Amino acid sequence: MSHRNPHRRLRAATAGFALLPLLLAACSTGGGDENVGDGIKAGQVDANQAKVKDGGTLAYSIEVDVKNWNILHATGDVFGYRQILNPVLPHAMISQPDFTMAKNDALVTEVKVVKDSPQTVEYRIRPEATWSDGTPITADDFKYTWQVQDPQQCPTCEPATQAGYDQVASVTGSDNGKTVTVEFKNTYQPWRLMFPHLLPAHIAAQHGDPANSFNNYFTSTVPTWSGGPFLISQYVPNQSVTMTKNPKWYGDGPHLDQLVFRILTDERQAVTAMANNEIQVVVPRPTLDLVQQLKGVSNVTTSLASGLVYEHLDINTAHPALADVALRKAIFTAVSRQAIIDKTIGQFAAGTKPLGNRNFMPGQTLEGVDAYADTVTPAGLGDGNLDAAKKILTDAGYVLGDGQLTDPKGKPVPALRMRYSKGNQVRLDTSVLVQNQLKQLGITLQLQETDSLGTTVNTGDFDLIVFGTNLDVIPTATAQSVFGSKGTHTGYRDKEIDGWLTDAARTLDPQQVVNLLNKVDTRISEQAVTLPIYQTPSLVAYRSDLGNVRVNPTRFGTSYNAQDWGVKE
Amino acid sequence: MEIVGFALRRLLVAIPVLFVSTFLIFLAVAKSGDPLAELRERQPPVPPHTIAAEEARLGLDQPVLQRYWDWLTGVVQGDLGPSVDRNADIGMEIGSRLGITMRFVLIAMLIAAVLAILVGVVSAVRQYSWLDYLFTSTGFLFLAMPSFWLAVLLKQGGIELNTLAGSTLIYTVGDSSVIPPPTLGGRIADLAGHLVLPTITLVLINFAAWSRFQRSSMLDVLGSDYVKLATAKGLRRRTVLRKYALRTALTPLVTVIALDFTAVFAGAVVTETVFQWRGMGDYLLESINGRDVNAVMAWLLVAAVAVVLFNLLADILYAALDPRIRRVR
Repeated sequence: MSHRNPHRRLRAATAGFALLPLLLAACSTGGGDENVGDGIKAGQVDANQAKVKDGGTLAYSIEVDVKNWNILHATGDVFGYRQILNPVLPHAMISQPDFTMAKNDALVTEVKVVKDSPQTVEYRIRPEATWSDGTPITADDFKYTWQVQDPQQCPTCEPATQAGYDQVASVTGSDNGKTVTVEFKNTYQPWRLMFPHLLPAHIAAQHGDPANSFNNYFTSTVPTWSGGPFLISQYVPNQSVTMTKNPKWYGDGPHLDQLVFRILTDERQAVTAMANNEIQVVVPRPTLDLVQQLKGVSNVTTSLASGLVYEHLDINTAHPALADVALRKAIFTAVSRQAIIDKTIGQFAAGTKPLGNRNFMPGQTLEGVDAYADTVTPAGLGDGNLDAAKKILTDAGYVLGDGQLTDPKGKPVPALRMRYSKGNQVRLDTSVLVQNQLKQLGITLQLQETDSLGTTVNTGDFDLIVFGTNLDVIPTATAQSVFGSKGTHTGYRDKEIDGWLTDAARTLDPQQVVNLLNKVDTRISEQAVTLPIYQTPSLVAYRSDLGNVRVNPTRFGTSYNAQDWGVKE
Repeated sequence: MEIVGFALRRLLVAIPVLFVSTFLIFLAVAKSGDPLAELRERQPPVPPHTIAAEEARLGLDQPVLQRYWDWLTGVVQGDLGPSVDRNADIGMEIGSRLGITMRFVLIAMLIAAVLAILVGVVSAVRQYSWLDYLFTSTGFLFLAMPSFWLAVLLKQGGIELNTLAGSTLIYTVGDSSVIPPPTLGGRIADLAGHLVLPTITLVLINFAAWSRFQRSSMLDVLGSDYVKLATAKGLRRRTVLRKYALRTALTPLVTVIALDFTAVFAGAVVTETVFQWRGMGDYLLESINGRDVNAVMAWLLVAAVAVVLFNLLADILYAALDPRIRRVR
């Protein structure tokens, strides 16, 4: 990887100071030509597939220094930390770029439901799978990983999530611990999301009870152990994490001699670092400038794919005026999602289309069943149809006069508060566009930023709000927390939806899950509670001679297959 | 003894200033946002008891005045408080980052000062010559140029140089390579290759201002009666310039540099960000972004102490060099 590339187009930059911004723009091959497909396209599992040779060092730029080495811990569940620890931890299941959840063939030979009631899942671990100290990876590791995420087993553990683990009745091992049997208390549909990362039980046992080892030891200690393809050889605080091959790795690869995670806290500096070959892979948050600049660097490939995070506009139905479904429908009918896309992410992710579902992304399948169905467009929402919006209002008895909307009782519709995240330009732009679109209905929006989105959402401190939701590849649990009566932040409660969500969580039939979740989605569209706008794209830029580096827009991220990376043959 | 008393008086005045400034800054940062905002936004949701445990660890469950009091009493006992990053030790972090920042700030200040004196003196001695015009226009150019822009330009220049050389001589990020060269010479070259661009950035920005200052100071002295007298007495021009003019003209610049140190320190925020040096500037930005009140307070405490100390140093230098100051005060 120690090659140098001519960088001719940037050479002109040194010619004149004043012309720099223009020259940088000229370096790009033009904004907006990075098409993400037919409005949405997940990452491809075979993108940039190549035969690679052994050897070399690769530096992957990461935005954060690791302050918590336990990615199962609440404060350790950070995208950058997962990127670094993916090649170190063993995984039973891995979320793939195409939004499917697949077993990790390197670790397990078989994962299947062996009994429906009580639901029992069996994992068969490869006999040769061991930790780097030679200790076999066994059911004990599954058991420890379950215990620290189950509030009944470990009430003082501080996991990032308990989803699924709190439904487990027992984890037992057989066949020298190489067969793991997980029995659930009740049927738990998204079981495939469980055990994406395993912690070493034998090391935990040396550091007190599960709470102490989980909350304190694993969080604060740089792992000198590994159950993945790479082993951490050096950590320089605030600078880098360097890994070498794990000599006890039981799968294919790895091909690289060294894998370096270089900490660059300002993503904008990645452009020159890529041009100077100081880093070879970067996964920044895409912006127009960044995409253009990265595309202007010679011998660097950029790749965009739509991810599992989607932006949406939500209405607080607890607001007296917004309790009326007619007003909510009119608002969402007047909003033009395409106009929002064109003014925001469409500038660098051309082809992005409005999103039509809140649980599944276009093209997504659930165990082979096509899951995506557009429930938004058929409901007439999100197309910026002002005439239709006005008709909904007049039919419901509203009167629009002198730029002010009056409700059927003759009272003016009050000004509404639209909240957006502080410092998020895209959400501010979205809010301004919605403000302008609703002005034509005689509805006044007062834009208010929030610096604590979570608190604002959870306490319902908004009338309208724009933010993003990160879905899992199996969205059952997320749907329950967002649309179920217990979790809803919009104030909209629907017993039928609760029933559908419960049924979806209790069936192992994927077709039924898809049908039920799409029924929920259709109801939310009919009731105009939330309006999905678009999927947020994910970006990866890498030196063009690298093989098997690709966008994985799921929780695993790009480093999910670090053992496959290398310089192309 | 006169100077010691003077210094003590200045330090005593600084204590209430520090107290008030830390209180105001603590309030401002504490009210600027929720450090656990990201944790509360997660899907699926983080268990409530986990969030409650973090709130308790950071003292967020206490009123802000109580939090300030806890911070203040902690600081007096040498405890800078917990960081949002649960494993970070703020004191250790500040210590290591201070070293990184000082490495290039001190070198840059030294080079900038030497250059400024040379250019300022030459400009003054050769007033209105082509050399003076060249230095003047160059000085104004760098004065007008935002440091981040200059830094980006230098990075592009560095990449061009590397391309021409066919190997990496200049680096654009970090203070050293992750995998250092095996030989001692290679390591020195590696450190220099990382140091050169941020240092040049800081040098050019500060040299520009200081050279203008030195020029006008030198011109004042050259026009004074005692210098004219020395010249009239037949002393050699070099002796007049060196012993009579320069020594006097340097006094104000020394004070300016001492006072400017904190500005350079603050200016390193931009330079460190662009060149990705993990110094004090980077730590400040990181702490603000993470709404890490205790980390921001520690940074500001260091900065405030530096301001007080360097102001004191400037006063002492001035007082030491000019006895009239001591008498007046």
